[in-house]
Amino acid sequence: MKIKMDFVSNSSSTSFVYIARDMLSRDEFFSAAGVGPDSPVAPLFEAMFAELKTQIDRGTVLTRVEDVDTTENRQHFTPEVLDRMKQGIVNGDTVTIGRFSSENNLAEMTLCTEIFEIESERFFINAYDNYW
Amino acid sequence: MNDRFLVLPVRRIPPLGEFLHALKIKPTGLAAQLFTGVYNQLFVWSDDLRAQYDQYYCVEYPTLAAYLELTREVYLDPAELEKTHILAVESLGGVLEEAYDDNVWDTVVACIRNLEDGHED
Repeated sequence: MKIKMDFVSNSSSTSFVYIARDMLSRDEFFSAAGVGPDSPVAPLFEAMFAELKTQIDRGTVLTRVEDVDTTENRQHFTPEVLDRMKQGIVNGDTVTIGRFSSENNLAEMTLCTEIFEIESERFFINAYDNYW
Repeated sequence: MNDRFLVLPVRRIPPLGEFLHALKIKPTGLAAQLFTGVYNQLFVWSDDLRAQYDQYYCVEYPTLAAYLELTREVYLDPAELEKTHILAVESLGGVLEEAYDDNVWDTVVACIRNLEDGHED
């Protein structure tokens, strides 16, 4: 449950970071999210995967370590995540900052309003910015 | 209680692990995080109207049905009235959000019904 103590608007957008060598695959997302492909709620996670992929595609790719310190979104991430972004760039991973909106559909609203982190051997997603 | 709520009569409240397992969700991860929230909305933060009736209102209203109809405008079939818990679920949000046609309310309720049927067998 999110409790916002100051001004509340009807819509919002939040930032997330995606760090990986390659683009996220459906099977990887399902596995890391902990949901079976035959789950009754699989359609929701299919939609979340599609939204996540779209927002990664539309996101800003950081190519230099210095970019992490200068990006306008840096205040949305913890020092640990910023360090991880720098390390990702050093390692040759693609570091992408994307945004979710609460206005468009259930899948994106869920991704926008849920504080979460997903880590697997092949990718890392941090969306701790999702506080309301 | 707010004006808007949904009623979920159930014979038993499943443990969280059983609920997640029925949805084919592992105990950790984003899916478990989301659907633990759903579980809490349905079974932890809801009001049990039968329990309230038995504890506080059975003197005032002759039957549970009368209590539900007169105070909540809830009309249930006799089979639903017999269930152990009559849960009033408020503040549906997240993946249960009514504003979205593809919310998972029906899917989750169907899963709960399957669990009830399986437990009776």
